[in-house]
Amino acid sequence: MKVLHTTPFKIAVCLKEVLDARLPLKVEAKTGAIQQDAPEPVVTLNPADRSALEFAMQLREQSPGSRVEVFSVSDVAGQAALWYGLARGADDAERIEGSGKGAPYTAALLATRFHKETFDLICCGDETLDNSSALVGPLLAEILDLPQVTGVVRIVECSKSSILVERGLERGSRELVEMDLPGLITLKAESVPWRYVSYQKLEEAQLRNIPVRRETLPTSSNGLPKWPEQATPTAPRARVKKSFTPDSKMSPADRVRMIMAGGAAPQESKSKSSVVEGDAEYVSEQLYRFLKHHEFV
Amino acid sequence: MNSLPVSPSPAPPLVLVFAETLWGKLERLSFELLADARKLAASVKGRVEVVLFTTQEQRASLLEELLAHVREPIHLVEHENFAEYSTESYTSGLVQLLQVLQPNLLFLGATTYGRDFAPRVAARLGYAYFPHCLLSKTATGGKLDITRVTHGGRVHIQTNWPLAAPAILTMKAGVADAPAAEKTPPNPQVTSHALKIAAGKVRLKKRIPPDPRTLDIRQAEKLVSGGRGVGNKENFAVLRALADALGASLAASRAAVDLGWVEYERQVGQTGKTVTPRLYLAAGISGASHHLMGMRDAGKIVVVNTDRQAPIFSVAHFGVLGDLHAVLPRLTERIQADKKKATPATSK
Ligand SMILES: Cc1cc2nc3c(=O)[nH]c(=O)nc-3n(C[C@H](O)[C@H](O)[C@@H](O)COP(=O)(O)OP(=O)(O)OC[C@H]3O[C@@H](n4cnc5c(N)ncnc54)[C@H](O)[C@@H]3O)c2cc1C
Ligand SMILES: Cc1cc2nc3c(=O)[nH]c(=O)nc-3n(C[C@H](O)[C@H](O)[C@H](O)COP(=O)(O)OP(=O)(O)OC[C@H]3O[C@@H](n4cnc5c(N)ncnc54)[C@H](O)[C@@H]3O)c2cc1C
Repeated sequence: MKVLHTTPFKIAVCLKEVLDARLPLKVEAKTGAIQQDAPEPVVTLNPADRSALEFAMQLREQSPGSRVEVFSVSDVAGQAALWYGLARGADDAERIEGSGKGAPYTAALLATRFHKETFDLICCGDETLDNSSALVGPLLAEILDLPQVTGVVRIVECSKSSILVERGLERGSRELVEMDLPGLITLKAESVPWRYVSYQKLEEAQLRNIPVRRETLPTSSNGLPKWPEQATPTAPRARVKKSFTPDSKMSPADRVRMIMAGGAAPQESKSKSSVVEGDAEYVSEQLYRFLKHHEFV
Repeated sequence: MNSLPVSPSPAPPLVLVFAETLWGKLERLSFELLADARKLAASVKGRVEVVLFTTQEQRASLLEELLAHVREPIHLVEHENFAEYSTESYTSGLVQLLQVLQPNLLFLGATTYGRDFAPRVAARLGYAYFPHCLLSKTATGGKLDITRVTHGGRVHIQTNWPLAAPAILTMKAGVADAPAAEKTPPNPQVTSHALKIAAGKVRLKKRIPPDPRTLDIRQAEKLVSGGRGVGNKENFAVLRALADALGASLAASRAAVDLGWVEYERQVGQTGKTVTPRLYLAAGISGASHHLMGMRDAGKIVVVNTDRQAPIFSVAHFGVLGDLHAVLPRLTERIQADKKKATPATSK
């Protein structure tokens, strides 16, 4: 990342502590409770938010006088997310009192806070590991009437009036875009490599008193999408997959081989389509026609 | 005698499909959404209509592409600001159009663009918004059953929403099959809407197409994958050449990776990556369950193998019984010859 004429930036980073959904999960059928296979829930700072924080810290390093503030909407006081933000070097952390009532409420609460103080740049994660609605960033920008770039995979250049970033599109395509500041970006987890944060720094951060704000939401839900009151988590229905059973007619040696190879032993083929054979010239032409027919060439 | 009150029969529910374009080309996902929308509309006696944003230059080619699959009415908004994607131009365009059309539902792809502007549209109109949904084919008691995918695909959130209250759903790719091209040109009604489209504060500087050689195989649209049957590391050149000709990326079975022929990042299967390309061409791979697990949901699976009994044939859409060393180089040549024809002697 290049920083042009080093003017100080004011940067806000939105952090959410999430249930670490990379670990094995199960959904309690009766209650719909989402649980990990662990005695205590394992939470972590959302990976994409970590990248957002990392970017903000690097921008501050390169433009002396800049400030980074981290925010989290939560009704839990012990906030590993905010501690981590401080440990990584954020100037200030603030918890906004609010419970999980859906992403629109979270965005509205954050917006109430940012209406009171203007930041040059607001950085969010692209989406969370758990609820993964990818809503908070765009809604926050909408309420604050800010331009946005979502799905940022690389930051190229920053100046006081604009930022140059790459956003990731479908199937690996990317776009280089320039956004006027103030504005909001959402970063993908893999966009900025994280730096190591020492245990000592984390411990120091936990001793800091993190101020709590109580924002009151506007009573009208104007300018917010609607959101259902009721939602039930379920385990994804397992798709019926053909399991293989060793054929009793097979020799013991073949059966063992089949089990060891995960089914890759002699077996009647049940192809969904015909198999062509013949000389190479003929079959490659048939193959070519198949690819052509399905517009792969 | 009391006369029965004559209530006007309510208009049939309207399901809109946003036909997304990426760099002037229609996204295939749009056709999958169309298939979803048709199923849903059929179950609620509703109707489907399609929305397309375009520029004057692209109008003809995009419409032609769309008309191959669409028999429903098309709403077209043509504006120079649609030459590139911008949050503000798309948001302002769609907000105005929805105010005119008053749909019950709008389907968009859960793509970078879709996820970028659809929340802002929903916010401006006070619509409900459901991100990352699977097909919702049922509506019971006037309510739509919705399944949202969260927690990295590990949890499905079930919820429902009254059809009478407008909602936007963004859908995951690859949940439905695209409808087949129409045999006879359907010639649907095309309505142009003249709207004021805002410009926005984000400007496109450069488009960066993916390089199939360095792309993460999970993002690849086409994969050419090799196994132990390729024989040795040097022979993988045959697969690379084919991949280059096809614009595909290279993948491999664990056997080929363990033998050091291909890097681990390219391994498909239980201990590698799960891939869902549109095309998966497997050469010299037997198809152990550990491998199938990682690729069985690919759009079209093509197999080249010398062993008729190889289990990989059981998932193949097209199988070739033959030696990959004889078949693949010929196929590569065939594709290259075709490309030369398509771009006649302008390469001076
Ligand atoms: C009916 C219902 C009940 C819910 N109950 C709970 C509950 O009991 N407990 C609970 O924790 N959640 C609950 N949630 C989910 C919670 O409301 C969301 O997690 C919401 O706060 C953020 O949505 P998301 O995780 O999809 O974020 P996304 O929109 O995917 O997040 C994108 C980015 O926005 C920022 N962001 C998101 N959330 C916050 C935040 N809280 N603070 C600061 N920045 C943030 C981060 O930068 C993040 O990377 C509930 C949701 C619903 C619909
Ligand atoms: C716990 C566990 C996890 C595993 N995870 C994975 C995984 O993630 N991914 C994975 O791939 N495997 C995995 N495996 C290994 C798996 O069981 C198989 O051993 C492996 O997939 C076999 O690789 P292969 O198909 O390349 O080789 P083989 O099974 O040896 O098959 C080679 C094939 O090439 C064909 N062939 C030979 N010569 C030619 C030719 N000239 N032209 C055309 N065809 C030819 C043969 O007919 C044969 O079908 C795992 C195994 C275990 C136990």
